[in-house]
Amino acid sequence: MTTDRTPPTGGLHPSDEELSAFIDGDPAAAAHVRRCRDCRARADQLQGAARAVATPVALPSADAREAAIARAVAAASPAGIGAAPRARERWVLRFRWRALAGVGAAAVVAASIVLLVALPRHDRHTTTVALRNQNAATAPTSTTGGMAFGVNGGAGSTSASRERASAAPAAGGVQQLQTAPLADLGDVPDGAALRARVGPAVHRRPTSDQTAAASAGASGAGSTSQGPTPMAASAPAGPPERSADTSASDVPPPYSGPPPPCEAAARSLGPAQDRLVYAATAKWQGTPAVVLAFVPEPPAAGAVRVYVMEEGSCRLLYSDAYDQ
Amino acid sequence: MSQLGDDVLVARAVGGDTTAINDLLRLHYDRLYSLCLRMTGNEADALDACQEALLAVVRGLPSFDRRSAFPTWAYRVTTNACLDELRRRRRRPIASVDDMAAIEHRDLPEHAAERLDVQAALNRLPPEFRAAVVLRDLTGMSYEDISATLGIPPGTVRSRIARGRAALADHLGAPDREPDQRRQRPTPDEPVKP
Repeated sequence: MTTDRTPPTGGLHPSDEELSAFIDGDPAAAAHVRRCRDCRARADQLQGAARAVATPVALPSADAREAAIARAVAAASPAGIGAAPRARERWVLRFRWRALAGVGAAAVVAASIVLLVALPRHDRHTTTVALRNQNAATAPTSTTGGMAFGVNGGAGSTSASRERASAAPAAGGVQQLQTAPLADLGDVPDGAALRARVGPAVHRRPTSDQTAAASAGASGAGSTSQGPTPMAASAPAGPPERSADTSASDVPPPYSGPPPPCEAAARSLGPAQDRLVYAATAKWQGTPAVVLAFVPEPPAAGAVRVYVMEEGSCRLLYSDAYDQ
Repeated sequence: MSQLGDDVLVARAVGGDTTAINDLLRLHYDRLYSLCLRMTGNEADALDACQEALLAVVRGLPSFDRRSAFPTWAYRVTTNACLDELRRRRRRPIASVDDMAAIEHRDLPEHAAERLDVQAALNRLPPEFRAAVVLRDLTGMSYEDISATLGIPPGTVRSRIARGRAALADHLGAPDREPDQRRQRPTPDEPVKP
C-alpha cells in the first residue's frame, strides 16, 4: 500500500475517508489527488471496490420473482393495502372515525334544526336581507352574480362565507350559492397543459403575472373566475383570500370554495391530512374530471400534489407534483 | 420508469388498485432483490428478505408520505427487511461466508466468479458497514438518505462507506490473505501519516 507515499507538497495525504468522499464528488481532496500519483492509485482502488459492488447480481428465476410479487399483491387484498398486518386495528379505527363523523354530522343537523326553529322570524328576515345586500355588494364583478366564497374579503371573510353558506337555505333566494360550480379548466390534453393552468394558481405567493395566468387559464376555458385560485365560478375580482395563518407564508392559501367532488377519494390516495388548495373541473383527455391540489402539512415541506379524478367514479386519471 | 410513473402507480396502489401494486413491485423487484442479495449474501436469504420487503412495501404504502422518491423509500424498507433477516440468521445455522468463498471459481464463467468474489468480500464486512456501502454503491443513495435509512449521522455514513470500500478493495486485491495482514493503510480512526 501507500503508507510510504511522499506528499507532493510536504503535507499529509488525504485519508481513505477523504478519498472515498472524493470519488463520491466531494472536491476537497481533488487538488491533492491530481498531483499525487499514490493517492490517485488509492482512489482508483476505492473506485474499483465501489464499481464491484454495483456490478449486476444474478437475479432469481422468473417463477420465484412472480411468486414473490403475487404473494405481496395477495397481502394487499381484500381489505385494501396496508390492511394486511394490522387489518383489524385499522378497520376498528376507521369504523370509529366513521361512527364519530356520523354522530357529529347528526349533531350538527339537529343543532341547525333547533336553531332554525328557535330563531325568531324577524331575525331570520333580517339575516336574509343582510345576505342579499351583501351579495348585491359583491355581485357586480361576477358574471353569475354568485357569492364570493372566501375569495373576496380578507381576514373575516372565511367566517362570513361560512355564515352565509349556513344561512343560505333559510334565505331561499341565495340557495344557489351553495352549489356554485367549480371553475372549469376546459380541455386538458396532458400533464404539461395541466401544469400550465394549475401551476400558477398553486404556486406559492402568487404574483400578479401568475394571477393573470391562472385567470387566463380558467377564463379561457369559459370560467368566470377572476381570482388566482379558480375555486368558485362566481369568484369576483380581487386579491386572493389568505387566511391569517398563511398570509405571511409562502404557501398557497387553503381552498375555501364549495366542497369539491372526489376530495375524499383523492385524500384516500395519500394526502389525508394535507391542505386542499385548489379545485376545478376539466376535461382530461376528453373525460370529465375534477382537478384537486393539496400541499403537505406543514406546508413548507414537499411539493404540491395534483390529482385528476374522473367525475362520477372519482377514479384517479392522473397525478403530478409541482415544486413549491 | 419515471418518477411520474411511480407517482401514478403509487397513488393507484394506495387506492387499492392491485394491478398498480403489481406493476409497481414488478418495476422495482430487480433492484430490491439486488439490494437483498448484496446485503444478505446468499440467494435463499435474499429471497426471504425480498419477500418480506415486498410485503412491507405493500403494507407501508399508506404511510408513504412521498417526501422522498418511491425507490428511496422502498430501499429503506428493504434495507430494514435485510437487517431483520441478518438478525434472524444469526440465530440459526447456515452455510458460512467462508463456505461460500471456498467455492471453486475456476469452473465458473468469468462474471460469475467476479460476482462471487465481490459477494464474498462484502460478506466479510460487518452488516452496518455493508449496508452503507451497498446503499451508496448499488442504489446510488445520497449520504443524507443513507443517514436517514440507517438512523446514523451523515458523518458516520461517510466513515462507514470509506472503511467498507477500503476493506473491500483490500479483500478484492488480495483475497488469499487475511484482512488484517492486508491493511497497511491507516484506518479513519488512526492518524494519517505522511
